[in-house]
Amino acid sequence: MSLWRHLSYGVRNLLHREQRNGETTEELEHFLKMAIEERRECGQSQEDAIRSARIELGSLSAAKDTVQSYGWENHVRSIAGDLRFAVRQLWRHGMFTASVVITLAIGIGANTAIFSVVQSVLLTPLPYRNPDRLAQLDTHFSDAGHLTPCMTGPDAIDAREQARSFEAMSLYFGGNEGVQLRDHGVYTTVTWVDANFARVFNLVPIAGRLFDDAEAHRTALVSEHFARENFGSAQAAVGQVLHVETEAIEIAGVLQEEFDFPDHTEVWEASSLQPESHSRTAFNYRVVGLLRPGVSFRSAQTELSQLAQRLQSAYPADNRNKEFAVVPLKDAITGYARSTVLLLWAGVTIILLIACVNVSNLQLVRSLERQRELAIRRALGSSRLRVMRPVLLEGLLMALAGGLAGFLLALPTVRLLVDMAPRELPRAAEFTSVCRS
Amino acid sequence: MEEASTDVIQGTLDMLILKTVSLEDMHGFGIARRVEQISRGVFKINPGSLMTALQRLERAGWVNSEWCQTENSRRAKYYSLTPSGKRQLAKEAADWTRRVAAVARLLGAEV
Repeated sequence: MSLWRHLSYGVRNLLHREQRNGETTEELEHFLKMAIEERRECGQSQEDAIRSARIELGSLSAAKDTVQSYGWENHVRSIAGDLRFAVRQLWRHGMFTASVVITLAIGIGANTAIFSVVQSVLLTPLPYRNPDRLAQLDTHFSDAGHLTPCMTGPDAIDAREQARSFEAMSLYFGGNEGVQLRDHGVYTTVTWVDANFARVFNLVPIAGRLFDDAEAHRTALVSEHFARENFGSAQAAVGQVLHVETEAIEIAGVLQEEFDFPDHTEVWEASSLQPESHSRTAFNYRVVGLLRPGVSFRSAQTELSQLAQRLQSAYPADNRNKEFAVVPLKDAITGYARSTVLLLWAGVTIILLIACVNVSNLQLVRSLERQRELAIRRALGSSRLRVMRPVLLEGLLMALAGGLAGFLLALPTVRLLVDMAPRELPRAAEFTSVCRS
Repeated sequence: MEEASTDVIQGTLDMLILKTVSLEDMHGFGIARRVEQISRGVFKINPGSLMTALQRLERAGWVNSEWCQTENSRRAKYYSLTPSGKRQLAKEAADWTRRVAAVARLLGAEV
């Protein structure tokens, strides 16, 4: 209630300042008139009454000042005055202002742009369902320390059939292939995936259906983008036939545009759940798995290590020193880019620091220039705060302008980074997310 | 001419104004005069601090103000006590009485 009155009275005073001042004056004059009248009634002459009333009440304009300086709205008024002053000062010293703002804009813009990359590559969860439960299985050799992000077919099957930590596990392989359509060819990423792949990523086709294990090497899923580019729409692509490495494949379903795992795949061809390679030394497959809800990576790793031990004793020749590693899929995807991106981030941070040092140097020069002005204001009786406020406001205004300019600079820079990003850099297409969110 | 007037004790101005307004609705000059008369000239309030205090009380919701005609048909701003002003006055008065009694006891203490 009282806060509300404070606010509404203050706002009313700000808006109707003239009227408000008039009322104060009128009230004070009424005060004076009454004092004079009272004296007249006691028998004083008009002049004496006026004189003694004035002496008793003191200066009315001083009283008016006291009354009018009450309330929070007066701070608003004086800050607004300082703000106007700061803007005029900045305008007058255009070169100084421009160099500070540009310096800040470059520092802040570079940081914003690189941070968008950091955010989308390293911080944002993978754009798949259950991103925290997705894992990649790697093989490494405990004697040589050598790590490969692949598994052999039989090892992977053992893992799939014996590891209780996983809800589903899928084997895949692939790469860039020529895809032959009826009237033209397309060179794109084709991945052979088994029927479990859709279970791991919880895929729901936007058109058509998923394939089952019996359809290996006869059907495929394609991305929405691929469908639209080559057949006009997702619906139109279903049932069409394409050729990959002389195999004729029917499109069973279309997956939504956001899904492009692994490596911007556009065609997922069905492969059998039983791998063709039976060698425990041929690392032909990559393996992704979906952990059961509530199972940690650590316990999954423990289970896989036990499995690796069993396989080592069962196949001492092929599986000697062979271990399996359960890696969160996000780390597996962004792993190698991580240090590069962080290094870039450190680089732009230093740029920002340098920018700040430059700005403070410029400020220093400027403050030497205005020492006289400040000294005079102090000597005239301004409080330290009153003298410092316009200077601080100037700094604040320049910081805001620099920040805004930096942000505007970051928008095209992020787009440029996306265009320049090597195709291998994971998740480049998601870069704009900082600007979007 | 009259005995020396004293500045109003710090922090009691609000209470004095609330009390005075509680007697009847009054304009600024009336309040100042009434405080002076009842205190037999001990307290004098200058218009600047009076009107600042009135603004404060009004914003706190303890008094309301309204422009009215006076008996001699002049326009003046009249102040009246609100219910929450009445509660505030009771609270401040009780507090004041307690303090005064305590000070009196302290000053009256002997050996």
